Amino acid sequence: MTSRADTIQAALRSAFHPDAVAVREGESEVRVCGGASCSGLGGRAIVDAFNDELSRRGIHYDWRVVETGCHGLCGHGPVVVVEPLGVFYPGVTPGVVPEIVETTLVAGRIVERLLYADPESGQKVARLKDLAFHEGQRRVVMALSEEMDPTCIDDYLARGGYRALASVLTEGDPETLIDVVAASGLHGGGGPAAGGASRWRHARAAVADAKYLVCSAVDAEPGAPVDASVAVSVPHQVIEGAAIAAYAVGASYGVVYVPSGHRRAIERLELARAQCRDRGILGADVLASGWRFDLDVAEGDDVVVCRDATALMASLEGHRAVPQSTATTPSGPCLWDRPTVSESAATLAAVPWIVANGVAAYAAAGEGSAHGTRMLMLLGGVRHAGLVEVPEGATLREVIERLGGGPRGDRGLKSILVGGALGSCLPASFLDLHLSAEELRAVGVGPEFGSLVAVDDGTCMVDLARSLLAHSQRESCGKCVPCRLGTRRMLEVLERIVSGQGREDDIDLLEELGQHCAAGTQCDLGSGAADPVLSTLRFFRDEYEAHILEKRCPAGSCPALVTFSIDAERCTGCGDCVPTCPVGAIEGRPDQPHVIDIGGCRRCGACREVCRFDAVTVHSGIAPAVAAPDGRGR
Amino acid sequence: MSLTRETADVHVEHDGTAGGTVSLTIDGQAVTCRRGETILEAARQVDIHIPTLCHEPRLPAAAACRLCIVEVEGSPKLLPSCSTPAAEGMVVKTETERVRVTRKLYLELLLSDHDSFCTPPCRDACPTHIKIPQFLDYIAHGDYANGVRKLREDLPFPAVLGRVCPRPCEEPCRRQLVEHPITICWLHRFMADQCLDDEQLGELLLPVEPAPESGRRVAIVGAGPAGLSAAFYLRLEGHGVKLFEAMPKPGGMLRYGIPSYRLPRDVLEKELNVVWRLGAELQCSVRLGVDFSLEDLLAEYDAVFLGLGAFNSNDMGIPGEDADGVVSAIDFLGELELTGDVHVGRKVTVIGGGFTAMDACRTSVRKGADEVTVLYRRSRKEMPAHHNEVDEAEEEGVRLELLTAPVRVLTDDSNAVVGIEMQRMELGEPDASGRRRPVPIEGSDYVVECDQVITAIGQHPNLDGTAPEQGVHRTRWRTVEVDEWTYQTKDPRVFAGGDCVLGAQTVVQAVAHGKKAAWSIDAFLRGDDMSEVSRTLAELRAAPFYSSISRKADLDPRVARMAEIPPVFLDMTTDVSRPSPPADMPKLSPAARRTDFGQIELGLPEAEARRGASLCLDCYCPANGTCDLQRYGIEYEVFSNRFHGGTVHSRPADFRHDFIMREPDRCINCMRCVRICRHEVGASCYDAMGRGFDTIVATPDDLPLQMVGCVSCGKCAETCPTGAITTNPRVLESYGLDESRCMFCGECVEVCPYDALEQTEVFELADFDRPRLARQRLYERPERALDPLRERLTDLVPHVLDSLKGRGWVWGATGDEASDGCDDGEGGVD
Repeated sequence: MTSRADTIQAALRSAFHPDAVAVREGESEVRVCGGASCSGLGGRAIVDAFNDELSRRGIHYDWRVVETGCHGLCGHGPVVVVEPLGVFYPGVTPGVVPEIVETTLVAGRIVERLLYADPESGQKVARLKDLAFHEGQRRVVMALSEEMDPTCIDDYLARGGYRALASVLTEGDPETLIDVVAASGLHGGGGPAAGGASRWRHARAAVADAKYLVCSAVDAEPGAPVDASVAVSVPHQVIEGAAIAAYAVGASYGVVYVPSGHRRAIERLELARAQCRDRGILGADVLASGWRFDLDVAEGDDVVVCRDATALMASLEGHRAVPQSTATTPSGPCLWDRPTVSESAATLAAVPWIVANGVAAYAAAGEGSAHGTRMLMLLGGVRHAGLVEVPEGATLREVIERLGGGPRGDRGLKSILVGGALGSCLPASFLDLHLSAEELRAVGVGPEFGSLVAVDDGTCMVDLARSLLAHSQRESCGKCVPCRLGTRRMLEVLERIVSGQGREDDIDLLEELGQHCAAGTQCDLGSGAADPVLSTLRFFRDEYEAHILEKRCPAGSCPALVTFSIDAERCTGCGDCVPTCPVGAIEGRPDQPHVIDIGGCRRCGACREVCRFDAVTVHSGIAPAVAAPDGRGR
Repeated sequence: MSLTRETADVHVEHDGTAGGTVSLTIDGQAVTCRRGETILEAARQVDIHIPTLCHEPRLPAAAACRLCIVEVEGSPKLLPSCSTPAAEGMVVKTETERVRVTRKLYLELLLSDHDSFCTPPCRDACPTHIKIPQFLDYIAHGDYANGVRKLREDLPFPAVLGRVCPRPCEEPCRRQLVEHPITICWLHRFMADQCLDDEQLGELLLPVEPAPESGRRVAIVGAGPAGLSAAFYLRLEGHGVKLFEAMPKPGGMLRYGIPSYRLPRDVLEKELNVVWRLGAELQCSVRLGVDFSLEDLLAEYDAVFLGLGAFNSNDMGIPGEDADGVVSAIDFLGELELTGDVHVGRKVTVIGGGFTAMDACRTSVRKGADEVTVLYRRSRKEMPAHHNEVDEAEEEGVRLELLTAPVRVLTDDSNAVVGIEMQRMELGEPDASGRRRPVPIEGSDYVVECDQVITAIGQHPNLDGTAPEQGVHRTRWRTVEVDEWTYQTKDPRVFAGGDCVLGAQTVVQAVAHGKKAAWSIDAFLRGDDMSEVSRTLAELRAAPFYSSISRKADLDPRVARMAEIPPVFLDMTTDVSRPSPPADMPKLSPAARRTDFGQIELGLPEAEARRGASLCLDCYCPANGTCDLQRYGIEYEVFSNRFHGGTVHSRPADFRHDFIMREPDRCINCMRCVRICRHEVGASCYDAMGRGFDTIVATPDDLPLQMVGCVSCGKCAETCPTGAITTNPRVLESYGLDESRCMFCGECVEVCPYDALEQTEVFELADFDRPRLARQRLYERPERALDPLRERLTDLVPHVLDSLKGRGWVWGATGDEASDGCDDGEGGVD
């Protein structure tokens, strides 16, 4: 070891303040998930409830209550894990906290009642790790998320944080570092497509008075805040990755761009940055190595179009976030005319892991020939929804069925929406598709996306396409004509179809508009906006035709194209539905089967909700021959 | 973060040096351009025109409108040529089917949220194309004399037409989208009435100063609407005019066909005085072919205009037509005018449903007939008379009998009419005119008792005074055959127009004919090649609007003004509000009308007229004729839009700045104003606001321009490809400072809202960029100009051309000129 290495190691050691971590690793901890979903459901109140209860009992010195990074099980929040037992409780409310403290923390027993129960078998699952949802994941970026307090730099340092940066600074060869990144095939969830490392190389080689690094925490698509979640859960890992990347490309200054809507990500990153400066990890002399690097957190426009690097740069430069058409350099678009490398937060957060564990380990994290992992929001009609990190190259089946637990309730899986509002609806027969860039491209999905949505068979694909487009067309920056106006006109056509006003040539019109939107816009937002429509047209064309030609909604979900009726055999004539109907369209004598007046029915579904005998049925189509029992119906 | 897809798809050399050239192929043509130039720039060097709305040569590309997309071999996507650098060996196609279809779709999308109209539909509908929004503006401001001057550019007799016109202009008025159409006809009558008496003794209200005497003389046969109109415009051009009229007084059908309750004779006399005071001579009671011949005229005059009218009534072609008591409406009305009286039966039937039938039946009522019945073979809806007149006739006691046709006139022994046998009809299939053809119902004959039958089933011209040997050929409809565009007969010196060419039509059509024939005669007298003129006019009318604009610059001004602009019906949509219905015309009561030939329509009160005129929505665009969106819309034939019925933005216009007017509904978000204001001017007044469909270029917080650093340079208006930003005329170019009186207090500097004054050592007016602007006469119009032909291309041709060339408009521009533009872009304009 040279003296330089010693200096760096010493700086790293002095950055760690062990006293700040009250309880040692593996000791008694209550970990409350601090992911966006759990904290939205009251995670902070649960932390307070635990602290209050522990103080009340006077045992608060024995336990550390931590609001950790995301556990991923967003569909069952707020999630609480009690270590070292490893027992986890889903859906915790402040009311049950005293019971958990009493039974689990004090007595060391499990509160059976509060455990997660499999909806089918009723079997209780006590440990998070026993859940297939957790077991099937491979955690690289989020490896430390569920055990650390993201606001505590010492938690991170205690788990080897910033060691990768220190080793990079020690060994000191940026070219080799870039080779490592290139060899790792880093292109995880939201990461740079192939050629990422070559952009690093170009930036490295460029001659300039300054170079910059931009880390983006912009959503991959509307409603899929993967990178912001990474920033919330492991902010220090993002900063470490950014510092390593900056060292590799020779940047002296970096910006983390976070949409203003992600307040917690901004706060956590700003806190983390302040801590790093405080401990000498960022600043004029990074870890006493003599290398200068500093980083700022920029609160940016809350628009998905900033996913496009040129738009992000424009926004950072103080202009409106609009993709620019001026030629980009091989290292990507420039910030303030300097060579700039921009990467997503999830990508950068994987860098320290790769440096620490080696290329082979990262490659092994993937399945088959694919390298690494991919971060996804798993959403829709699955049993376990949440933020997952899956091996690159995993099949859709593994993600949807194993992690997600398959469709919720007694529904069947109809489609998988890959990429949310900017993605494609694949039919269920594509379940064996591998999540790898090549296979995704083959079905028309770009390599970057943030979510997988399981679509069950109760969903109307036309209406789904409509709602997705309604979402994405609001995100258009308004520059390109096909995106600004074309998506709106597409939306209007879809609205007309789901309301039963579809015209025969609407399918052709949608296809034409969709293809032109895809081909004629500058950034991926414009082209992606049309994808849900084009993919449903490709795989679920029969549903469009049923809406337009037969005026019925096969899924029975578009109010304008269904008919409600009462099954005379099931109806007991209890009369509960009669006052529920807002338009008084239900009539019947007591204890006799009731009848819905189809002409008056507004198809709100209120009667169906209230019926205890499942007697209200929905027929696809506007007015099928529904024979009323006493012949009064139409 | 991926690279944007576009740049990722095409391999672009990045060798870091800007030097050298690249060779590529555009539309099969080999092109060499500097490295770093875009495909668009390369194409312009070889005169290949790629359409674009957002490209501004002085600024970096925006690639917002996507119209400049081209096909590049090897790229699956269409690439925007304005931002794709030309690369070595590239093969570019700019006009493939795929490219055209895509461009058309984008234009449809743009026009589907372009809440604006190019041309006012009223003006398109009027045969004379009077400048309706402009004169309504004069009325609204109470400037009637100038209003009459404006109107007389296209129509010499506003008071007469204001009483007798069937108002084709009001039918398409867009005001009726919210309520009633503007009462255009009543309004110009009101305006003309205000000036009529003053004009008798005072100054003539002429559209232009009459040209000096040319020494040429034109004979006009027939002092009806067509002939009088021709005389008016020929006199304005300085040609000597003499009218020859067969009847004792001038006016033609105006006098002998239209009763005085519709057109009081004093109004007619007064209005015709303009023609006489302009120096036209008149000889009455001389008939062509009786008192003089065409040869006589040609011996004495340089050209002849035949405005013979259509005074011969059509026959019914049924038995008994020659009975006593059967009279044609024209003879009936003419006799009344000539002698002051006419015989009217007790029970009168009038056959026909047109204007003449209405005039005849209502005259019969006034002359004391006990019972007047109008018999018409179709239904009320198909009646050619204006519905107002039919209603008024009924008010006066006329009975309508519809869907009935005469079979035979019944007479007594003395051959006097006792009745008419009629047959019921029903409506069958539509005929060539679009009206449903009446079909007789067998066995439905019945008899209407009467002692007088007035026939009003159409007229045809009396061409006895002319012969084909004289060059005046006839059509199979018994009308004079003329060139469709120049109104010239086979004898090049003889022109014809009005009813003798049209068959019996309306006064306004006859006036339009007279005007256009006068312009044509003027061109003839000045030696233009009339076959060439005719051919050009036909082409211009048929060709899309814009190719005609680029050609018209080559035209003689005399031909240019004859070329009617085909109306531009780009399929756009609007949402108008401001409901407040126009006032009704005050009228004599039906009881008073029954015995009196006094004028029925009393005229609008001034307040109502001014309010009515102010209701005009000005539904046309100041950029009409210079708008790029319009030009491409026509070029790509966007005449019906599939995206209608969708949401359309309606945003308030911003007239708060004194010089720059903004109408966001016409904005297409091309960002040219944003970029030019930021990069060239440095003021940064604009940026796009909002997201998605609602994106719009606006000032910060929608503040008025003068509050966001605007220097009133007008560059935004200059670069705007549509009519979203336009400029007001500046009457003053600058204020002078009387230094002998100025005490240098500096008050004016303090208060100027535009920061146009600056305190300097010599306390001068600091006048930013105005001298340069003043040169741009394009924007200094006496008013919001409407007619690109007459106002922009004749008076302003050099300026317009320069401007058009600068914007890459004139397609015939030479390579030098085109590359000049590129050089500007490269070198940057200071």
